[in-house]
Amino acid sequence: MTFDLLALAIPVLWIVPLVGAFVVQFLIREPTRQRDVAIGVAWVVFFIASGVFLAIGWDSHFVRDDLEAPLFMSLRFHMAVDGLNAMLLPMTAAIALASLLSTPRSDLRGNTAARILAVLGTLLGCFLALDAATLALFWIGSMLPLWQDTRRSNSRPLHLVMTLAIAATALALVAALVLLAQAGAAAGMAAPFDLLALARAGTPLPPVIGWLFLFAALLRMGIFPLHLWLTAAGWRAPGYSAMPALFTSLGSFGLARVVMPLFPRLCEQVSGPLVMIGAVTALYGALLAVGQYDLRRVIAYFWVSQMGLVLTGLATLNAPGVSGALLQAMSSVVEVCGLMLIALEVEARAGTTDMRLLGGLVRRAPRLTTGFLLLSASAVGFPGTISFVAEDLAIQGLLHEHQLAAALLLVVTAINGVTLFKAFKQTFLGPGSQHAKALRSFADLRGWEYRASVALMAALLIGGLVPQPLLAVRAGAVEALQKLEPAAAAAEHHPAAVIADEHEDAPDDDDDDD
Amino acid sequence: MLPDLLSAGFALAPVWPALAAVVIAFLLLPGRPSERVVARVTAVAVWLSLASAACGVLLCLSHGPVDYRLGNWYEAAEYSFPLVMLFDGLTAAMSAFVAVIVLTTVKFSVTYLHREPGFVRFFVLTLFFAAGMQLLVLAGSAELLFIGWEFVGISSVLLVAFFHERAMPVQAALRVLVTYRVCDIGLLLGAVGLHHWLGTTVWADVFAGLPQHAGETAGLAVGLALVFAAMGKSAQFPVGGWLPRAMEGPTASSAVFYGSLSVHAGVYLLLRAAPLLEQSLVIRAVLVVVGLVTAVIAALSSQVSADAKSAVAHATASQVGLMFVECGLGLYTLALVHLITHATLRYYQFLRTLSAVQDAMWQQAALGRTDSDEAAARWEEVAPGPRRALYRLALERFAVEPALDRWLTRPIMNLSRALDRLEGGLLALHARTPEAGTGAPLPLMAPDLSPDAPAPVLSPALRPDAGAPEARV
Repeated sequence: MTFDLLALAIPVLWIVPLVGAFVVQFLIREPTRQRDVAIGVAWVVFFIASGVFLAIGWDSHFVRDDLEAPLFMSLRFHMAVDGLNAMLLPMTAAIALASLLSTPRSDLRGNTAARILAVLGTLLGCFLALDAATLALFWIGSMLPLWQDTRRSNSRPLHLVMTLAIAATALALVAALVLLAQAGAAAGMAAPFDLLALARAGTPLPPVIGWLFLFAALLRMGIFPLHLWLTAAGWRAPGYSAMPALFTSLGSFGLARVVMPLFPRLCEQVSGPLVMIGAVTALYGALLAVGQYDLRRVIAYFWVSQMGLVLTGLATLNAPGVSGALLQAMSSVVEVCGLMLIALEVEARAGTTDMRLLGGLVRRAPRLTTGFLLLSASAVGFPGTISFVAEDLAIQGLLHEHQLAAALLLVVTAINGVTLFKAFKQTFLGPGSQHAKALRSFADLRGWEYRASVALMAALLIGGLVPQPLLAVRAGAVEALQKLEPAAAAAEHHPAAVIADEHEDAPDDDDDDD
Repeated sequence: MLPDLLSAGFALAPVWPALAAVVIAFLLLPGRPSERVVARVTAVAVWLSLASAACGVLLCLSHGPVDYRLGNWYEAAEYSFPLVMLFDGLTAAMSAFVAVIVLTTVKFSVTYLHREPGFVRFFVLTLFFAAGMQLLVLAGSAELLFIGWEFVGISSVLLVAFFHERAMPVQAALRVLVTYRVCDIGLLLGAVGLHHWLGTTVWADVFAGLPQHAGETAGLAVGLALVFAAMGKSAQFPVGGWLPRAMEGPTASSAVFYGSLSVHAGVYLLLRAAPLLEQSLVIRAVLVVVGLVTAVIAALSSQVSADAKSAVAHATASQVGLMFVECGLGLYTLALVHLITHATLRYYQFLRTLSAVQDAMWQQAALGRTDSDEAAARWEEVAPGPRRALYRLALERFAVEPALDRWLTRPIMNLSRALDRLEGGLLALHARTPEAGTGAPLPLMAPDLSPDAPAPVLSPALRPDAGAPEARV
């Protein structure tokens, strides 16, 4: 029964938002109805995603078949919920919902609502997909609405850099698929893109495919020096629709879903350099964020810094490091999206996010101020929040072999703490800027904004105080990734076979193979 | 059975204030609760905390030191975060002292802050601080101590910025935060280093493992990292410039934080980690030198301070410097007695500052001179040249802060700006519009010229004729 419901829920999760986007964009003319429909669709997806997570998310098998069917030629409709993506589904839906609810009614025209829903649908498709081609298709698709937005942003360089980012992602992923198809054809595989089929076949995969996926993942994460598109879009792109597309853990998810399990030898080779690149990115983002005057730029560079930390943890390839990185990838999405939402709310009310024009907002908006303070504390890993646990684990993972990177990350957390408090001080505290008259009508959080903020804080605090269940959800995924290490060391044993071994332990395998 | 009950009771000392802070936060959700309710909840929590501390004193008197382990907070593969507390004489004495001081502060502040707009905020932060301080004292591992340390730090910063409508308190709070964050790296490095070096951060296990690892460089590094953390929290040279600035907060918080408890947390860390620190002669020498230099600089600065709270703050740093010296010389009992007596005296002095100024004015009116004048007269015996030089140095606080700003803060900010210019150049986003990152000119959004674009909505502040305001750092 559970399986039947799941078989229904999985396609609903990504099809409904995409259909909703189409309906809102083309079939509804009236702005109020467009908003209502978009928010209704997001609520439905959020509830289904939460239900899926609660029903089977705690089952922490790394890879399990939930739904598998041939779709078109070698493209297969193969999707699953496991420890790696279970939490990401409701989280992504919640962020899209929060974006829709927070967007001022005047801004939430058909285009914006449709783009948010399209990003939601494609991101959920990415997280669910166990087929490389489907995943790549959704991956590229998730960036297109943002690209559309940048066309309207009146910044040609931003549009250019976004175009380059999408083109590079598309080229890398398509090239990887072509090479996968070639490798599959050489091995006589019926489904060359299916991650599980690849694992079962045991065909050695050319490392260049791993490099291409790695490039796409690092670009999506915004790792230095591939971060320009992300920070530029974070500052200049239309905020509410850009937020779910920009601040997502898709990049780190791609690393954990494709690169680490299928290319363990490559991961082992590049582990050291990746740790250092991650640490340098973390420091680079932190150094840039500390000097900014624009709140949106502060948050964009802070995100880059956080992604550096995530990469560093993942690249350690040991259990505490990977656990910490996966947790950090999740918590930083919530925190950065929360901070960005507040920045956008300030922008919507004051007309600017330049902190030199702001100041003293606490008198007008104490709730907004408290929200920013709590989110900042959480984002810099204050004890009692999820990020504290994540950073602690990531640093413990680094200790054995990468002490320098661990020390760098400690410096980064200190700088980031100063950055966010400085932003808090300049925006919300103090005597009020000389432009205070323009802020006279500045309103505090109201209605859904307030309720969403309280729910967000509660989730972060409860998750931080009782982190073990969150760690347990991903324990299976981390454990499976750990098992890949000895496989990499044994030259005869192909890494993909480990996934198959892991897969065989999972229930329902045989039912789905047909 | 009795030791278990007493241990459980003692372990609850940080829980009561934390619970009360959460309760008040919940009361704040629907709207501002009454002062009476907040005061009652707070009073109940701090009385319970005092009762817990009393359990600790009884436990130590009847059963001696107890290593109280509550299991793991979280674990991932081979790593776990242990929840462990160490109950010994030092813990019991400090915990009881913290509870008494916090209770007195709460009683004092209910009247002192009556009808103050930030009344509820003050009590939430004080409870938060009390929980952090008790956790710091009871912690049986460096990691748990770090959590208490951070609680104390953030509540301290937010109380310095209590009067947030003025610029100076907010600026001072940023200064305090920067020092705390930088020096907290020391405590983190110490904890992480202990884990790497000895495989544990639990004090009891660390001390048990020390004899097998005596004289190792890792021990020196860990010890120096812990000393650096203690220097930041206890306002020692060269990172003590934040202390006089922190006087911007309400007097009650100045008394409890910078007169008695928070500023002595560094000394407590030294006492707690004493078996580790005394292994190395270098660490002891560093403690003595840092303590002596701070004592001299702070004592002289105190003499020339123009306001009473700053004078007491400098005097506090000076005495804490002497405690560092005592720790460096291995006089731990003396340091603990010095800590408690000095903290009590300063607490009283801070609370009395306002009325002491009043007294001095009466004294001046009646006698034509004050005690301060008599103290200043003693300097007349020093030759004018050295006296003038000392006066100037003391007035400028020996130029420690400008030197740190010049050699540390400014290079970091310059690097940030250089990187931002590099990014701007790479992106060419600033080709037609003024720089908006770290540069001075403000951004002016280019108008959208496409036919279907909505009319740009710019606040008056962003209009081209608004002019660029001075940058506030």
